[in-house]
Amino acid sequence: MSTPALTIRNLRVDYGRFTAVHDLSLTLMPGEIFGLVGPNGAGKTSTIRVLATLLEPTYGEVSVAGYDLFEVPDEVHRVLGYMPDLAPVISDLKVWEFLDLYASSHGLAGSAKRERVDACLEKVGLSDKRNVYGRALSRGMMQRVVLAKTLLHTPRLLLLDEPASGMDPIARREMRLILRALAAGGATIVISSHILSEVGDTCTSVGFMHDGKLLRHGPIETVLSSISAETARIRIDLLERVEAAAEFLRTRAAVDAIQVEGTKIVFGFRGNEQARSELLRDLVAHGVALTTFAPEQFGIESVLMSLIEEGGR
Amino acid sequence: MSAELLATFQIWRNPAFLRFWRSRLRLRKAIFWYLLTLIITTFVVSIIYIGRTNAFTPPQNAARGLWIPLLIIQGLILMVKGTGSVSAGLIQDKIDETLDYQRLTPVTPIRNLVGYLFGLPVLEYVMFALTLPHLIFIVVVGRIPLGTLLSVYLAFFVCAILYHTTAIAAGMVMRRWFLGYIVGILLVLFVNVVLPLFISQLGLKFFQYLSVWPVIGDNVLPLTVSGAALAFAAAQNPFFSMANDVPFFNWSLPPLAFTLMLQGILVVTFATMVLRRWQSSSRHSLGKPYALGFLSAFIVVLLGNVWPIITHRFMPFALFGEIDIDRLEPVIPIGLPLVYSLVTWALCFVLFAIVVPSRHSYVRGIRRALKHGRSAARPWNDDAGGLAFIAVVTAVALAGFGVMFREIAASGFLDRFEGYAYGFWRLPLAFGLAIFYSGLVLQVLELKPTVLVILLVWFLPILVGIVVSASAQDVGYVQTVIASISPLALVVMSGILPTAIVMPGQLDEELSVVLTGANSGLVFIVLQIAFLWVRWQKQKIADYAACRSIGAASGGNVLVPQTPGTDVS
Repeated sequence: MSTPALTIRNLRVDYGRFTAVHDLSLTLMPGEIFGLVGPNGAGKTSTIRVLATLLEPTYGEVSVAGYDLFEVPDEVHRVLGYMPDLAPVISDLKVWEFLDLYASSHGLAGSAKRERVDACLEKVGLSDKRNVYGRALSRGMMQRVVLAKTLLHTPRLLLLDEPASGMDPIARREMRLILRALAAGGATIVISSHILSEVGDTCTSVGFMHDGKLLRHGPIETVLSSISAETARIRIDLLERVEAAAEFLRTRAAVDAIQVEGTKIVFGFRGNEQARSELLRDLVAHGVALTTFAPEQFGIESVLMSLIEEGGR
Repeated sequence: MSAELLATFQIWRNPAFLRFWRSRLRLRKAIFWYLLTLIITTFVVSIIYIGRTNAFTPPQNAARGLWIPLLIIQGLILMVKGTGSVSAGLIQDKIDETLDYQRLTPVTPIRNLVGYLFGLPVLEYVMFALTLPHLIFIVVVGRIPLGTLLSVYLAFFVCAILYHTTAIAAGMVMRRWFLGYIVGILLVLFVNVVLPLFISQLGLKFFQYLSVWPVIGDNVLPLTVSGAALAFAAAQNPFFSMANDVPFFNWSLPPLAFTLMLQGILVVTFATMVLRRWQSSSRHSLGKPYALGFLSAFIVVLLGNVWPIITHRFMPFALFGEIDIDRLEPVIPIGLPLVYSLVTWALCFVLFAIVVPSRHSYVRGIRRALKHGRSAARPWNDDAGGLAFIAVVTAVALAGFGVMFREIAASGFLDRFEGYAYGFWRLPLAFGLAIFYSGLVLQVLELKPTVLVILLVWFLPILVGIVVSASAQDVGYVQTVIASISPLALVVMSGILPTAIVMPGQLDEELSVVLTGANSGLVFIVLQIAFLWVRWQKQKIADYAACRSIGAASGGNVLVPQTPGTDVS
């Protein structure tokens, strides 16, 4: 079995009495694209900043490609790439100079450096912008230049904090392809994102954070199926009497998290197929005119909502 | 020399340096500064030289007379403008988060420091280089000895590096680039103008060696003026009055050696601050052991400078505006301990502000310690509570006071106070309490509320006392007691109390008033310390309780075995 790309054990981050990350443990293997999702204040950015050695945790153990993050940070820096949210490009440097700076900082020199800078520019589709100053770049272009910078030293662990913000759909698609290619080459990628569809499309595994805790994590399909096995969400469409149907549902112990949207009601339901069949029968008997009664498809967003609601109960 | 160490000093291969070389020397932007430098320098050099030669000054003397004006121009470029650029540039990088990018590269912190130190002011170094033809003219025509030239520019560059390192250290903690720019410039002007003109007149002459003036006075002045004019300049000109050898304890050091020693200590200190912050932005700028070492070094330098005055009754410079030791006899046992107390207290406060942990940091230290099975953070860690450190600092400051006062007594300065010596115990008591109190305020209330305390408790009572005195047209008991709420007033009143003792009869009433103020001040400061102490104990208990309860809630933080990637917890 190969060395894990990232191992986190009991990581905790406090700001005074506020705990931003609460005893988080996680292991990622080479080639994984891990999506860290959660609402604002969940602790995603604090976690990423600890992994990037920019924030000292209260305690915890982190190793990147076998290197202890706190013992040998310089070794970790050689294999780590970090792209922050709102990534800046130095305004008074040209794009190639910006990349040249960080290529040199990672020990590249001479023709190898020039070739690497050109290759990374090519990869993010900005070869024609190499002589443009940082201050003249759009937000999306800056993100791509910083992605190029992050790729310069062929990192084995990539930390991307909201990488797609500011990018247009084409650039997002390009970035997705780049990340998949990197993962196929053995790199491990951690993406913190609010854009859940992006995570679903790009990542192979996912972790849900809320209130500093990592509620669930694992391969996307496994997590989704485990949630849907525990808590089904059912959608019903009605012709009329929507409020009456909602009132009726509220009286059922197996039903929770009722959301009414126009003539549609989505609710959580705990029970097997027999119980579901009985619920359908009772709704009809109660005079509710149904046009649809079907389990809601579970996506990352609904899992996140479900986990947050579960945590809140 | 290891490859890493070698790479540190290969500035031309330093990525950070090359970055600034590219961005700051772009001709389109830099051409203005190049032309300005050439025009101003050439104008100044030409007009002075032509004016002097027209007045029949020999060319050699006329050329030598250009050196100090040229040094001032070079100082304005490299020290004033350069320091501002360093500070502003670093703050801008911090705001942009490009400093974080640089942190995340495998470049060592010291190599990054070197890159920023020489890269940020690279424009100013080039501007300095543009003044070199003028310097060569002065050296050749003025026949300046090579040793003199090297001494002056060695001190000049060490001084510039000190200011730039200070600006980087300040930039690491400041948040607005414009403020950083202004503070950088003010710092240089303060050290080079305000210190020589004002503060060093209090006897704190060694501060003047933070500038390049003493080395210029020692090396350049004898080349440009002679005889009586030189003696006058050395004695009266505040900028050159430190040009002679520096009496330090029982030694006599050349100004260059003393300047390099003093500035070297500060360069190392500020570089240490920068490197610590570079390694982690959440670290304190100085560790507790270094801060203690720095305070000790400061006290040694302070004592070393006044030692010849106390032990040999030798006055190397004017003290409190007086050069005659006999006339100073009654002032020395009162003035020197008071100045020592105020200056050392100020430094202790600065060190406390750097080293005493915030509540956040302190709580983090408790959690970390509990996690590792200890009851508290190790005493010298950043996160450890600061009380032990504050107590040690107070003890060190008092030890320095004790050494100085013992010599003052041994040298006979207290003879005229015989029978009144009881008055002298008040100052060290007030001084020690004030140091401990200021550290305790920072520990319990943290920095921002402490600033309010300084305003409301340290200064306001003094101002109220002054207003009441002005309205009553007298300094009475009420206003003195009000003022004594301030620890600042307490230290000053305790320090000047013996003044009244040496003038019996004349100042009986004043003595009584000051004595009442000093006594009430002691009561106030003890009450404040007691209040803060109780609050600190309550905070500590609450913090420990919170940390223990959270630890228990998380299942005692047992390490959880993990299955890579596939587990669903």
